[in-house]
Amino acid sequence: MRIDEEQCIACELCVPYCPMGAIRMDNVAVIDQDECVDCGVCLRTGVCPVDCIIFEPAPWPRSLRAVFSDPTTEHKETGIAGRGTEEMKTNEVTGRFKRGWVGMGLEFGRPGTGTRFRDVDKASQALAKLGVQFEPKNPVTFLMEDVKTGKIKEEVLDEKVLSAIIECIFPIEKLEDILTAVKEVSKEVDTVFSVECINRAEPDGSFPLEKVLADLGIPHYINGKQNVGLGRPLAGGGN
Amino acid sequence: MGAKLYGTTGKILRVDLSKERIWEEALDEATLRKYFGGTCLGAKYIYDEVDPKSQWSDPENRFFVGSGPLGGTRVAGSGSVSFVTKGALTNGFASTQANGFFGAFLKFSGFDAIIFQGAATNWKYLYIHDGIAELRDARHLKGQDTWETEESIKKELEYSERSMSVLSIGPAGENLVKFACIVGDKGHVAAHNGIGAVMGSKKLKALAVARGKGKVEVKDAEQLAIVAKQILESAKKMVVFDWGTSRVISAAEGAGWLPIKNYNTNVFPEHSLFVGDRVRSVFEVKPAPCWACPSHHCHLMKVTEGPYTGYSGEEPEYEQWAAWGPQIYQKDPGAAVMLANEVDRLGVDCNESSWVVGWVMECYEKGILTKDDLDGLEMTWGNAEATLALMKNIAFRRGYGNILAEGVKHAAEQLGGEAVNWAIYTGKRNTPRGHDHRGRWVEFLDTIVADIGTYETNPGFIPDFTIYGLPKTYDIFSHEEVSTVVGKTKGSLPFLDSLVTCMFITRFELPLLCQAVKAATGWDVDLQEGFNVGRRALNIMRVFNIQAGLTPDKERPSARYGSIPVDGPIKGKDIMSGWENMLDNYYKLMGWDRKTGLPLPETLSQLGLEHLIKDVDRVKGGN
Repeated sequence: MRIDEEQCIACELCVPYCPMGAIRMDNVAVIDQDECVDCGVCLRTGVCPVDCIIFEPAPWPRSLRAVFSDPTTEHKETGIAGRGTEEMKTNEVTGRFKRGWVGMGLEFGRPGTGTRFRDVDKASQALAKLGVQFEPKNPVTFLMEDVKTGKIKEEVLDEKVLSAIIECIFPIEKLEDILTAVKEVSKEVDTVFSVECINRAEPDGSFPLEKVLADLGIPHYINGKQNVGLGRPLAGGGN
Repeated sequence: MGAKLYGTTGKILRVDLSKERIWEEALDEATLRKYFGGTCLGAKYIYDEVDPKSQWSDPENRFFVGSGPLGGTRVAGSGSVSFVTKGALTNGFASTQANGFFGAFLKFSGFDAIIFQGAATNWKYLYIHDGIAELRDARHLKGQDTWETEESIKKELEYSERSMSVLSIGPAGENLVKFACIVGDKGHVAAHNGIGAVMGSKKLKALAVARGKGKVEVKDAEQLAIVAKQILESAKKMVVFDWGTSRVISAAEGAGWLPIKNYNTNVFPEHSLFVGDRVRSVFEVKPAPCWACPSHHCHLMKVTEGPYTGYSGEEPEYEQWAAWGPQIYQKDPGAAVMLANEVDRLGVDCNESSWVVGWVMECYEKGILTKDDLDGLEMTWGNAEATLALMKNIAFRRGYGNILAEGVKHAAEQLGGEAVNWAIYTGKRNTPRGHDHRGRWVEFLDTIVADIGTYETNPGFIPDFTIYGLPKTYDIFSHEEVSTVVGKTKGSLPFLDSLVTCMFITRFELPLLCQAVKAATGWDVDLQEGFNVGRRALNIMRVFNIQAGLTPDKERPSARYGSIPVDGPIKGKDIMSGWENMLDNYYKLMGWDRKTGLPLPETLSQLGLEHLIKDVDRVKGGN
């Protein structure tokens, strides 16, 4: 995002709208290009009385900022708007998360902090070492040089986005090792992130993950999702 | 060069239109600290360089256009500009302001003010860019209205909407209409005392300043940002911040100070059609704020009901609604939007215009002026189309418009007879703003004694009376209390106009404003010093005006202006019964001689104006 300094009238109305606090006043309003994640909130609010906030699609790799940060932008590669895949939320379309497996999402960044891919990279490499499978349709996975190493392409590491999500799956047996590794890597990560563990409930309604997390002393809360549709969930399949 | 200056640029641009010569003049810090900028600095220059006995149209008249020490800073509304000159209507001092951007852009270009002298042979406009000024041919702009002129200049110099600010006169200024105004940034008007005619007399069509890359260097930017925010927080409590000035129309009608049918009545039930929250919800609006201003005051407006549906322009201010609604007994808000904008475009002050039109309508109703007298116009009450046609005749000085172009006092006296009693004016030839002052006594007294060509103080603009040593409230219909308020609050408004910030943002917190000046300039200004700056300006103007013939005997309203309301909420209120006592009290509080009207020597000394004492003595001696 950019402000046309020849049109800006210095009214400061846009300043509080920036989720990243990237607009400052220097005679007129100026957007810190390094901190701006191109989320477009300033523009979409319509707050500027002289319409001097400008978005010009940026070339690679800056183009990633809008793609990850502006929920109205669709990922070209995945055809999905936003930061992760729809499946993570529902597990209804492909039945990706089967019994005995754990789906994990690491959500980096929040409004107010954002994240650079350098921090995402630290975690994705740590996870890769433990043999997770990254979700191929996830936009972060697209940025990896090699899904085996989890290494994110060098040229995008300094790009900053509002939020990015790593998605992967692994057998439940690895959960303890992986959570330990995530805890360890969090010390090196220079932003906030949250951890989601996804798991199919047992027929008796219990959640296998719950016991492991309790044993590890990790505080958590459960977001239950239930298929109330007419169809049989694909994740069923006898598992 | 002296010490480094902050807040002000320390430079004035001088333009001699006769010789087509432009030069820069440096100002020392002592002068700046004494006069600040805008109104007070302008008053000093006019006093020093203009013969009070000369005519306003004499090429030797100076035309001062200035920003001030807060111009172009983070303080909201600091793009305003103050004009000071010998005005066309009273032939005394004129000081009038416009908001917008010009003041800020002028400061970015490296100048606090511009002073014009002389008169051009052919029409010119001044173009300032990157700290350089040049006079350009404006012959092709002659006849264009104020909005067209702005568009033409931006187009020919290739500037976009907000990368240049243009101030211009319309046909009225070109034709030396005595109440011609100056319009800038499409809709910001410096209205009073015929300053547009002064520009016209100098054959100066417009001033255009490019925005440039410069900025105002302040002493303590961090502190100024904090104070600017506090000022803004205070402004947010006022109704204008959210609704603009037209929100007060209903309150004005309820309190009896809405001008209705040329002061013939104080009842106008249609006020509810004009009130700000209604018109903003019915008509299409788009914000159009000034420099550094986040308030919801200024808007563009498109009419969506009535015969003027589709008409676009600026949202009228309260005074324009009052002028083109109740004062001419016109009941369609859409027509008021049209008239407000068309009159701005012609470059005529809406207030004086409305007293002229209201008077003509009354004369027409009573058969004193006929269709034949008025070049075929049927001036019935509320006739918007006829009003527009009449205003064009005035702006181009056609037919009877040529007489009306001299102002309502002149026209009424010319016509003579009973019609003189129906006109609203003061003995100095200026007129009230868009109010019925018979219900607004502070401004009534002030308008009549003012030396500025309009009002100099305003109780509605003073939220805290205690800073002036006054009780928290006063009786608005007490001769004594009202004149005390006028006498004691004089100085605050010209102080603002010497900083040249928008009064709708900064008038509420004078102590904070002093802190802003300190952060901008480094000067440790307290309230008393600020107040004295305003008083200094007024005393300079007073000594000048007495010499120009604007003596205390002229400080009386016309018969209608001073009449007793016959109906409505202020029925029977009679200001004139205590008039002499009010003047006595006012003069005492101002430190002025009641007989001659001149400041006493000690008054001048207290304000650091000892150098005027010899002029005062000379005038007293009859020379």
